[in-house]
Amino acid sequence: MEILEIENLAKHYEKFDLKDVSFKIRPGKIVGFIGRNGAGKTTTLKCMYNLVSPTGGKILYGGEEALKIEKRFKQEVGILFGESNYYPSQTVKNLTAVTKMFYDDWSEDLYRHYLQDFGIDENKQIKALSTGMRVKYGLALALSRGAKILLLDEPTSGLDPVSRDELLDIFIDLVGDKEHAIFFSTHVISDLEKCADDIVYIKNGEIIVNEDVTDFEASYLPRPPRQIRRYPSKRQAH
Amino acid sequence: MKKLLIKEIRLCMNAQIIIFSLLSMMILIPSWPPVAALMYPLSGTMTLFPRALANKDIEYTTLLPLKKTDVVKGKVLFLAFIDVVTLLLAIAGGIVRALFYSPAEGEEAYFEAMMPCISLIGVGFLAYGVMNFFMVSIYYKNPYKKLTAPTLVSLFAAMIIAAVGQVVIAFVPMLRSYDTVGLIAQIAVAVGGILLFALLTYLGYWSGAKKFQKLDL
Repeated sequence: MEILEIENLAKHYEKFDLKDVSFKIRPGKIVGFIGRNGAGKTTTLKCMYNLVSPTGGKILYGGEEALKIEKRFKQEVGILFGESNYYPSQTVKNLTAVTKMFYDDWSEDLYRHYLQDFGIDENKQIKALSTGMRVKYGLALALSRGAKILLLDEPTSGLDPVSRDELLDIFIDLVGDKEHAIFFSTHVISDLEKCADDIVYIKNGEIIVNEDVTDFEASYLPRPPRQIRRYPSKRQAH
Repeated sequence: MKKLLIKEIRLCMNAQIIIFSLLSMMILIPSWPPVAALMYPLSGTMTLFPRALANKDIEYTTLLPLKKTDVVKGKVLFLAFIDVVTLLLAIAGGIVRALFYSPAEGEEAYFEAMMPCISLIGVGFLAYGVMNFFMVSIYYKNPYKKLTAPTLVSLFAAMIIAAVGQVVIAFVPMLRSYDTVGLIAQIAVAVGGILLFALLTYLGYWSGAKKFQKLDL
């Protein structure tokens, strides 16, 4: 069964149109969502989570319209936009205590594990965390809440290479049980090569590619090395 | 609802709200019209919205497993909670003033007209209900752009209601008398004010939520 299905999603803005965006997120899969800045990645994610009202199309979760089961959908599908910088004056401990009240399947053990793993001091204020640590804190919350699907908007941005690799390993582990799925947008092609099963490529609001990562790599990635044009220096030119 | 209110209290409560709410105890100042003490707490309540924007409360709440409109519901619950606590404090202060204060010589008429009474509870609730209605229904049309207009409209509307209410009570002795008819009239005004507070606050939520649902975040 398809667990999350996006069908002909559309959003009209004065200067931008998201057109007929369709893709599926299947259990046990990591889907990479790529595209240039302004291509429509964040708009798509926001439409999927009812932060932006689509002008057309459907978001189906387990065959039901996500908007009609909004609370259950948000319970089972988590989303994370970059770094977690809400309530900067609150401590990590207090913000987590409030956040976890809302999740039925919250795992305190898992949360403690990620806090330790990421080296987050829960007595610190959110604003005292570095950008990378705020990303990690957001991920710790997202991973501990028991969501079946995680929608992540550039989760690796702001992370150092070691943390990035660790995170991608966590993604691979998470979907290994074939019950979870991850959909993440990124600009970093190496992230996709490491962990993505499927690729959705969006350009100017339209899905250009929606295929298996190996097909994508064969069609798009192996390009001949770029010729570096060397211009003579002014002294050589004269 | 309970979780939403706990979230608001733990994350959105700030010192200004507490301090300004405590200012409702200024009802104890003998020469002041008691309704004036009910207006100061509004300054604290009004800090709620700009602070929520600065703390990205809307973004945080919309990502929780709640309906989008629960963002508005949480804030309205918190507003109503602050209103009720503030008015309860004012009622306590009003009882003290009514029971233990006595007029200065030559000021008996003013003292009697300005004496806190049961009718005043209705006026206070009505003024706060009007404020909630205008603030929430206008603000949530676009929280990122509209802050000054709903703040000014709701504050002025609440102040006008409170001032008119105080004047009517001062000029209609029945609304502050404790004979049988007066008591019935006072209780009717108080209950009416409380019901209108509930209705206006709900209408504010309903209208604000409807607008917020359509808003692209």
